[in-house]
Amino acid sequence: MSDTERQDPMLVFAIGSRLFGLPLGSVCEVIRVPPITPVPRGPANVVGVGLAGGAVITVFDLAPSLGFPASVRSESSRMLLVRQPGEVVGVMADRVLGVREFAAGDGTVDGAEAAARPGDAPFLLDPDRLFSPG
Amino acid sequence: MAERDADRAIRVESERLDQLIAAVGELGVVQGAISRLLEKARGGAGAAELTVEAQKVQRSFERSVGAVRASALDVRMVPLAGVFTQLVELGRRLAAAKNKAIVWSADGAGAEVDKPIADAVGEALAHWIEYLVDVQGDTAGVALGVGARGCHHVVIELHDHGRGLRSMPARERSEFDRRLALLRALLRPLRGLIEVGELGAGSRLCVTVPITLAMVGVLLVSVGGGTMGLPLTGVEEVVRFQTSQLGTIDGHAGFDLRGQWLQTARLVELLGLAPPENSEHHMVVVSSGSRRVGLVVERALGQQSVLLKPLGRSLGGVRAIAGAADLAGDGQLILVIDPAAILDEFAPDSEVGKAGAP
Repeated sequence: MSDTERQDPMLVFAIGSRLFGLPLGSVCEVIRVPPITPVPRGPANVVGVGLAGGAVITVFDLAPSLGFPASVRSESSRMLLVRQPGEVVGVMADRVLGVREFAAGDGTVDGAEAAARPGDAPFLLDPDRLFSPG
Repeated sequence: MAERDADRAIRVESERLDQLIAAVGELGVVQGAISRLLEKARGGAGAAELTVEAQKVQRSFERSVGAVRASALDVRMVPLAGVFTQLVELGRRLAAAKNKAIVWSADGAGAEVDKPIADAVGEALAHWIEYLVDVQGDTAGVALGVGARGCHHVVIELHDHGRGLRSMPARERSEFDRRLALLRALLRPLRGLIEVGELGAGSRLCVTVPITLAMVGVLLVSVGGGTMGLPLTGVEEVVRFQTSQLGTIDGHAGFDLRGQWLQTARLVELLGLAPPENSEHHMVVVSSGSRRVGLVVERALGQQSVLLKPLGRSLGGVRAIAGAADLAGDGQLILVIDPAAILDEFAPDSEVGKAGAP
């Protein structure tokens, strides 16, 4: 990493055995998972709605839309509050591992690229492309 | 939304602020009671005695919080008469510019609504006033008034002595429908319901809006094993029925409600939920204008006032849900259904056509 000038701090979390990373700057808070109410006819990657800081938050599970097994709730589950245009959304995490720095050149990936990534390298997610309805 | 500061400011009668301050003061009394309770507990009082005391404190806390909530919401209430005055002024100006003689009358009847609702109603009805003056050329008089009032909603009535729908030529009629659709779209964020009636001697527009956006009266129902809410503004009645009473006409499920055929639908199916384990016993008749549908649910559980919160922007596409509410204060949200969106799926904007039929 010594040959790159810029490094992007990422918050790394796991869903099942897969690691994901979101830019630290986009995550406002990590909280315990509140009770979640499923939303009928909601987008496929939405688990439901929950209450955080007095507001109703849309909660996403990003793993299935990337082709991985869905998040499973346990004691170590957390919800990441992620800033989006006009709202804050929740992102399910089975475990939060911490902040890691990656060379800027590592880039971010979405669905197809993520699936092609080898081994246990975290999938660096682009918050601008994740929450489009679908 | 670039609102100016002046639009966001609101004038409040000083008595209302005094009431709010008094209600907050009452909370201090409850605080004292909690301190005394704690002292008793430290002093080794028995569990039975402490429970009785704690229940007393809890009851007075509930009363105080209720009073604070009520007077805090009261601060934002503004009289509908103010909205009416502005609408009449607008109408007079427009009519004068077109050299039309229109008699205006308005009676707010002391009804009050939340400031944001007053603003939205004023904006929406301004379009209708403009339409009456501009397009419906032979309007001789317009009366603004207040119809039925409930704990949670108020009906605004707008009666014009114009041509009425029945004698309206097709071209005018399509313009009427277009304006009505616009009005409905403007009032949708308020979950406002619109009804058009008394045709022939002019038209009467009834707009039902909630009194406050914050607190909404809902009918709680169990659907697919969970609990959901239906805003009382859209609920006509709850009917107990047996599955054997359900029938079909032209492939549409329905029910004979006191001699009238009522189209029905299972709410679980509309929402795409798993079929319920318990059988369905209740039918909630929801209506908007003359559109009605009987929503089949497992059970109607009762009414409650809830603090309705909107869903996030990413769920904007889910029209069937009006918002969510923390019913028990334990963080478990229940969803509140938007009856107008459900009715749209059955009979998209058909009430004018039905009302116009002889």
